[in-house]
Amino acid sequence: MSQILTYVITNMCCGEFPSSALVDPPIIDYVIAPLGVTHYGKNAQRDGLLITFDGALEMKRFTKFIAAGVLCLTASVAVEAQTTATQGITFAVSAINVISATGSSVLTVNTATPGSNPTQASGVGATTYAVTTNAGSGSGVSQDITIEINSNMPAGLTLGATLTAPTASGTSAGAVTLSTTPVTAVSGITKTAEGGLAVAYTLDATVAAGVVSSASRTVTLTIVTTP
Amino acid sequence: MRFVSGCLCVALAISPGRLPAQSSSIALTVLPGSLTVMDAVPGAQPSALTDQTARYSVTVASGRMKIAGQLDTPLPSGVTIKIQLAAPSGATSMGSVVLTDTPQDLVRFIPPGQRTGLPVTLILTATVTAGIVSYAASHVVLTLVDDP
Repeated sequence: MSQILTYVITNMCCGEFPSSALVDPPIIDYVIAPLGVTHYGKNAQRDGLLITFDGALEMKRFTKFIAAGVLCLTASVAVEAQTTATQGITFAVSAINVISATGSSVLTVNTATPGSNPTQASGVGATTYAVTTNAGSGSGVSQDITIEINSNMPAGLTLGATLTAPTASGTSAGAVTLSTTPVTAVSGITKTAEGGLAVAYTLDATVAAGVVSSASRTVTLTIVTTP
Repeated sequence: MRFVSGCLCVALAISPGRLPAQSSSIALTVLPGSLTVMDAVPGAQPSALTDQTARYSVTVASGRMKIAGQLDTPLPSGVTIKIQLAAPSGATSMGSVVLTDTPQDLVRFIPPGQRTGLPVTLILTATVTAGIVSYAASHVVLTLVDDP
């Protein structure tokens, strides 16, 4: 009994028992608390959680109330609409460090000031690079750009390059001498996405180099993480 | 009288005024995998990632309704999620909408009917200023409401 009434009070709370169904002249009152029956006796009132019904005969009615309550609850659940849908999304941004170079340059040493080594030649032709990195400086790392060529220059010839640093971050090392060993040309790049950054080449020759036939080198730019 | 009691109870739950709204529903039926931005064209911002695996279903019992969308938590700075819901027949998609923690209309003028398997397009973008973002979760909340 106590368990049944506990069940009833649960459904009454959620299923909205119609109070008009409890107005018949009662004989026994039940005070129903969340944990079950706590009091009963002769009374003809229903007040709050106080429900009245008429002894054994009315227990059938009460059972009907229970059935009605279950039906009420079931019907309510059946028509309950799901008007909100929620979906979890997992996302991430990986480390991105990409660089590219475009253009080519021609350098010819063909003059000198009398008494001096041949005059330095500047590259003719647009050469630029572009870089994107989302690495931050907060973690204590940054990105450097190194530059190298695929084979060393002949004796007496020096190929140099100057990379313009991105405006957002980074510091240019100025003119650096190119060889097959990578050398840092720009350092300290963080969270940058810029293109069209200039690369300027120079060629120096000593008289000891003599006359050098046309040759070419491939320049490689690499973005590297430095602690 | 006993029988009337049961009828009263049922009538309370299924009153004519509540049935239409309670019969309309929306559900996201297919979950997308993890979305990761991981590439870029040099010199440009990271490439957006597009996912079109998710699907949704919507049922409108009566009247005209709309779907609003929002995130339950703000995204990290520099990270953006756009969503585009394909419109059911007779409705209008608002196109690709940047999700925020404020509800925004995604589909409007949805007429009564039941549609399933409608495509959901999610686009994850990140700027370089977002930096590297570890895997995090947010929830897309779609709400079906009356469209005045």
